[in-house]
Amino acid sequence: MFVSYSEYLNEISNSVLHADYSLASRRMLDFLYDYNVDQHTDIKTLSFDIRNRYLQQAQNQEVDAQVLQQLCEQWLQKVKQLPIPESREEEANNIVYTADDLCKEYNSGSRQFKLHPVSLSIKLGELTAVVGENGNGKTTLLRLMAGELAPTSGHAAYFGNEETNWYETKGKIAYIPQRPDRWYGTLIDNLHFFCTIKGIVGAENEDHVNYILHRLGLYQFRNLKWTEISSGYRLRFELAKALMMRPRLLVLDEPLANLDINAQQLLLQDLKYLSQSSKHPMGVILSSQQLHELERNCKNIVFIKQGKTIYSGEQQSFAADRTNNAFEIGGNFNISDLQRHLSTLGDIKIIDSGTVLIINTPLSVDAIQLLKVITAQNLPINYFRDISKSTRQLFQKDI
Amino acid sequence: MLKFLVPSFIKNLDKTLVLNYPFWYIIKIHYIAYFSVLMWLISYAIGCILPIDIASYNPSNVTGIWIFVFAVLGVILFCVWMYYLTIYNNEDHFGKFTIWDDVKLLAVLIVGINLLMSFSYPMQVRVNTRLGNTFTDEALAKQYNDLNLGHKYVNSDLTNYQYCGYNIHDVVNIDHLKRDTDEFGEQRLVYDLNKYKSFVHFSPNEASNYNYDFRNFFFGSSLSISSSEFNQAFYNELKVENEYKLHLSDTQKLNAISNYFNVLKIYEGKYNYNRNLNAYKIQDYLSNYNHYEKICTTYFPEANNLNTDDKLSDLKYLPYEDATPYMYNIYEAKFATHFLLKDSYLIFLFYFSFYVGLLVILFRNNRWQHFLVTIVSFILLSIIIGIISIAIGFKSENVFFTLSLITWVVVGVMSINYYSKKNVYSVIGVVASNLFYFSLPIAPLVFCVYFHEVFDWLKCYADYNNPIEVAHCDIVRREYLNVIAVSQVIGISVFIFAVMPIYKSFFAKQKALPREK
Repeated sequence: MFVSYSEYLNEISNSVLHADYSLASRRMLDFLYDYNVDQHTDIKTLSFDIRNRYLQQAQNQEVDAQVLQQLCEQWLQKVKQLPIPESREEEANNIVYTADDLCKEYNSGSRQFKLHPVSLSIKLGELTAVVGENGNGKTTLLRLMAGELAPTSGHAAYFGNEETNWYETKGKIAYIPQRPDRWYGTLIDNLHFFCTIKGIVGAENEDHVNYILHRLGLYQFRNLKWTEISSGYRLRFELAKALMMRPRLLVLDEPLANLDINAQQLLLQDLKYLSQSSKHPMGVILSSQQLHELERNCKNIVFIKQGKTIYSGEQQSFAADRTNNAFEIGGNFNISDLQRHLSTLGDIKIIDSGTVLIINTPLSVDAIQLLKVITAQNLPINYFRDISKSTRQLFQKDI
Repeated sequence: MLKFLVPSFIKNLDKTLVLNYPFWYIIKIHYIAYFSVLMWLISYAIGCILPIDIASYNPSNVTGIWIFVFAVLGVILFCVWMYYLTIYNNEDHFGKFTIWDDVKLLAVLIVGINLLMSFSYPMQVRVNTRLGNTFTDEALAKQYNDLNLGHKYVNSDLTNYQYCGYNIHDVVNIDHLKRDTDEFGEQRLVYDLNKYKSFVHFSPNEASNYNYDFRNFFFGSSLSISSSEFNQAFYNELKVENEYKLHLSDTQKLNAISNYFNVLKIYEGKYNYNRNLNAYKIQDYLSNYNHYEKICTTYFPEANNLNTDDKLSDLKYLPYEDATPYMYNIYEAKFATHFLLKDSYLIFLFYFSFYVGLLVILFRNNRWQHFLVTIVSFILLSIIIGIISIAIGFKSENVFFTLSLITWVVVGVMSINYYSKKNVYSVIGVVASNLFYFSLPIAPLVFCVYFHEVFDWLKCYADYNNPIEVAHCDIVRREYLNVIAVSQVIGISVFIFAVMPIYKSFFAKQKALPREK
């Protein structure tokens, strides 16, 4: 689960090698705090300097790669001179949340809804995605997990405790709703406050806030208020606030909704890395409609349809017992052209989803075979995706 | 809004607090203290420059508008303070807390509210001091003496004379006093214009009414006292009587009348005195005094030297004025217990700030919607119980008390049940708990009043013709007042030191409970 000392350094070296200073500077800060390297003032200063330079240059669209590379190499040299710390033992019980047949039923006037019994568990260092169509119960499930809603039946255990002391438990859960409540004051004051009420005081408080501000690229926005930031940054602000309390379980409802594609990828990447922190690991569960982005970053998937959990498990294991493969394809051709050209592959079923065509093939036909046939026929494709192991298929059945 | 008024040391203090002491950062009492000091300085400066009018019946007229301005400023700052108090809430984010946090918060709120109410105090104290310093203690006492030593020659009131056949230095049976019959056949006492009675006609002594309060209960009642300088210079009855005996010649009497009017002139204002006063000379008063028939009479003789105009306007006596209301203002400014230290004001301050503080605590511990529901429920319950009491009619106040107590017990049971058993947030549980919590400080008091009113506990009915019964009832009444005082002290103490810590953990738990919807 945790990223080891050597893995960290390899990752940072590779990022520097590929001139990905965004990732390199973020991972340097993660490394700094995960392995308590911040006690070495020179490395700490250098880490923040690299991050600051990157953020400033990225904002001005003028990345002086040469200077950044020199600084990064300097950083790597300094860190490599440090004694290698003992590897940390992972927690024996890394399950932060377990739900057994958790069920929620609403019966209020015209609105009747039931989230059918759902069982799942969330582990430290893992990202779990809840997917499904609108109004199918994703938010209800997340609110149940965050302790915002009381279940109608079933049982939930937090952090291995059968009995829940709600105040203590909620102190370890960070829940970011789809529309976060407005907050007052500046970001930095809020962050300091959140740290202090969790018992992180004095210099440690300042350090932690500084780390999160730089880590999430919010340093230059630290003195802004809620009304002065865009909805995309509000999410980052919320995440920063949530991370202040060093949660064990992070619950995010539609965090990608207001983000551009780069920001989405950056956020998911950050969530993944932050959840794998060796010092303060956490389990993360989030809902979103960005299916492909989630599947690329999340280890587990929960698919909910009309309140019923259709699938809950590892993303890799999804559709292991499938009877056919499925592919999305887009291009300058119509469904009958494609049907005609692919008839040689056997029993092919093509569905028009509106924006792309979905090709269902026998298991024997994989993506390479399919692409070979398509390219052989010189079909002008501009989009192709193998969704055989994607929960995208579960959406498809409804089309 | 007020950022430009906040100096950097307060901002630095803010930073230190947010990094180390979240409770004090949330409370922001340092801002209130800072603005209070600012306001005190302004208030003191205003107190130094406001005009002092010794010829005003009500010297606080001049400070009234400023008291209002400072009160408005206090209310505005209170609202700003409350706004900032809602920004940060530890328990909303499940931070660390201690069960004494609400007690600390209440103490700070009481201090803060009192600071906000105190903006005008320096001004009032300063104006009072300036008014009190208008004359020295001896000079003020001399003014009283001059009035008392001249009063005999200018007064026009029969009651200032002894009853006919009666000497204040002798023991005389009232039945032997000379009587007359008026036009309605009613008997009336006859006064002897040879014998003056009210030697200390003008005295600034404060009324020593029985003032029931906590301080009296613990320390006994206290009276405000003048300075020794004033007491030494002020002539008592005997001294005034003896001084009058020395007025043998007209010159001495004229001198006494002159002194009397000199005191009046000190306080002479534009609209204060009778317009006729200046139309007469001191010689007129002496002539008038000498004109009195020195006999026993039931009427006061008409002045012999009244102007025709004054006669027409039904003025039968030479004009007579009283400067003592203005002098008493000065006396009070010098010696009276300042209103800030008066028991009634201190008790008002405590209860006002205590309950405002409790409301703020309830607001912080609840969702604002449910806080409002609590307030509305309280009002509705009172109205419903009132209507039922009136509908039943028979001893409706007893029914009201009984229904209120039953409601109180019910919400108490609901509150305890909610906090001890439920694991789901319940609006009804929250509202019941809030009502119970808010009423707990006065619960012992209410119980005492209930038993007193409904079961006649410590209640006494006396036949007012029977002095023994009256005396007994006075003792019972005083005992009841003591019980009332003790019940308030116990109620508030138990609430602060037992109920608030327990409910702090209840409130915190309530904030974290999952909801049904």
